Amino acid sequence: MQAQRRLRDLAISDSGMVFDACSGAMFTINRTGRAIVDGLKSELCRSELLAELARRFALEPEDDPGRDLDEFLLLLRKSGLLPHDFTLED
Amino acid sequence: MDPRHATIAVTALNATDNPGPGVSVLRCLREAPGFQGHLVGLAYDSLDPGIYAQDIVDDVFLLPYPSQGRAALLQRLRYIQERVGLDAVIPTLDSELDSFIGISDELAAMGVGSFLPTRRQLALRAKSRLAELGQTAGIQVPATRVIADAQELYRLHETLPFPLFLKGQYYGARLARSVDEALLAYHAIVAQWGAPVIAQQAVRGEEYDVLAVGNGQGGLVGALPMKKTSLTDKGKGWAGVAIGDPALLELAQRFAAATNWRGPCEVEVIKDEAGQLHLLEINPRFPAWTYLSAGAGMNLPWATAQLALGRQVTPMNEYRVGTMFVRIALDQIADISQLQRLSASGELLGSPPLSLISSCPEA
Repeated sequence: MQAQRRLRDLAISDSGMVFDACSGAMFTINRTGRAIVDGLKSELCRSELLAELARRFALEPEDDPGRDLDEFLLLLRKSGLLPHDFTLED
Repeated sequence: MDPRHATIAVTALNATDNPGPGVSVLRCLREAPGFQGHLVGLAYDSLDPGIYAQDIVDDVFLLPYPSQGRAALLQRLRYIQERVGLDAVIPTLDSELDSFIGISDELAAMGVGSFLPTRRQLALRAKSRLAELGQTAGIQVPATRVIADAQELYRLHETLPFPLFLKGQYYGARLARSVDEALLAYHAIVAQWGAPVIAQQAVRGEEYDVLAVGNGQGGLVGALPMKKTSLTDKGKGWAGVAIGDPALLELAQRFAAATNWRGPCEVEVIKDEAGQLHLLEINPRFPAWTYLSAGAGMNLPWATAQLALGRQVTPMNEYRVGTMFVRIALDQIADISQLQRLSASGELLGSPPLSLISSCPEA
């Protein structure tokens, strides 16, 4: 998908250091951020991505990773790694 | 002439915290695959640090300053040609380009190749004509005004709001946020580089640079975009990384197509918060960070040298994105006799002699 093209070009080290080959920007993401980026690269829909987060981090049913996901998507949009109008399909 | 055995001269061996491009260009040539030729450094000052980088230059000659004119330059290059048999020359300073272009026919007649823009191409990218270039090439350019008199600064904000940059014709850029700062910047630039001064609207965003070599027919021999990751207090890049933004490559291509640019250049661009690219200026020569091109696998000085020697070069499209450069300030050791010889005769040939001072005198 075109929207995820920039994410596929990211070089991410094991420690979470990210190099954006297009802009030259460098930043760090934590394990949750890494999981979200991996999910977006794999073109998971919102429910699949939330399920993946719940599985990977052993979340309880009452935990709500949706807010973290939305905040991280906002950061990706602000940094130009996702289009400004990007939304994750349900 | 096999380029791998050529004698190639490169100008500008100053390598301070605001370095000239010569040392980086020479390093690229030295590391070109199979190169076994001779590298000649052309310097303007006997303490230019590149003179003493003996693993980079084989011979060094002092050149007359560009202000002494074309005839003096040609005379000096004739002498150097007789001494070491030059095959090609790569000038790397804005201020000397006009002279080198002016004597390029004489140099060719002497058997010294060059790969330079024409005088017309050089004029097309002048800072004072950037808006015109932007229109021709379809590239966005920040609003600019040419200021020939300090009085104009008092009303400049009516058409060009602060903050803005004031720039010299060749070098130097100062940010001004008010009339007072603009006046200060204007007089400092005029004192150093002469009038006129170019006022350019300051655009907020991230700055990028592209090293490109035009083939003289509207195409590119190669282009390498770079993002500076560390700056000196003068705003010069101390570290940077090769990036893969296709929009930057397209902009460089547009410039080459609009001007039929021939030779190396540095395209300076700012990307605003909306992702739009704005052309800040075109430097008509290699930048000081040129060694990154060899490091990233796209040796553009070597391509330029081959073109100067009359060889065809296949356009280069590949380089390693993510290749970084990080500068270092090193103390080089040299013998005082080298400085003495260079200062006395204007040349330093071959390997250094044994020291005149063989040991420390006893107390």
